[in-house]
Amino acid sequence: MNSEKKPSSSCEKAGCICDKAQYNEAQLWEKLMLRFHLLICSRCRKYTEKNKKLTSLLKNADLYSLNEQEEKELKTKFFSQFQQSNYNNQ
Amino acid sequence: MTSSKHQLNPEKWVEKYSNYLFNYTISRVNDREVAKDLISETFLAGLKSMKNFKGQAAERTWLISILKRKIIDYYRKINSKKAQAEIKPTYFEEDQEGDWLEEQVSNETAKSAEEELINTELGVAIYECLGKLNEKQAQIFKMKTIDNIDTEVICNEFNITSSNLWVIIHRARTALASCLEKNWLK
Repeated sequence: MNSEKKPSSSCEKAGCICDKAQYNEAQLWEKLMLRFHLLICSRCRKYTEKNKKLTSLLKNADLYSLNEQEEKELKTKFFSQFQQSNYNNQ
Repeated sequence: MTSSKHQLNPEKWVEKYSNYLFNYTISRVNDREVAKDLISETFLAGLKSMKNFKGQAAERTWLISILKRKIIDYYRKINSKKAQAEIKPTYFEEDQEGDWLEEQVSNETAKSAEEELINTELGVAIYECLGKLNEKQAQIFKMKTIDNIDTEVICNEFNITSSNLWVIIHRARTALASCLEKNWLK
């Protein structure tokens, strides 16, 4: 049988700290709290492991994204055509 | 039209798909400007052929199929201009000369072709999964994780508290992990 408990509020906190840690934004005392919680909670251990993997995936991936300016240009270009085609259809 | 069929929402295209399509394109044409043009053309072509959309494929799949044709056209065009059979993916100017193959082999710092292909595919997969989140979640996650924007700046822009932000990030990460799980997180 599964001995996992339902997520408690301390799990919620632990999850949040774990997320912050992925961005190096967790405080030292938060990290200690997380460590302690992980000792007693297998559910959060699993989440932490998965979360770490996700972070390294995101790091390895070649992610290209348009900057704000580029997206704006694309939008303006597209919407002028879009309105025209709407107009033509009416 | 029945409601079970897929529908097109062009007014959302740029927001929802431009990064996904951009990632897909840039990994194939290797040039930011060309990639932007191709995406723009894809959206316009989609707009023009909306009448032909039968609703059998998801909007995203349909746009990708248009984009694929645009990319092929682009390669045809540059190849016929150069009138040469040899493909030199990193030479953009006509007067650039050299042995492309040899340069690639001698470049030891370059990742292996397989590795690069996998990372590119992963990038596309991540954007695909991001597209399944709700818009605000996806946008905040992207700003925080991909664009590395400060927590404070994002909070100000969306007028949310930092604990709101972390809840959103948490949901996004959980959703993303389960979306990527089957193929990437094993």
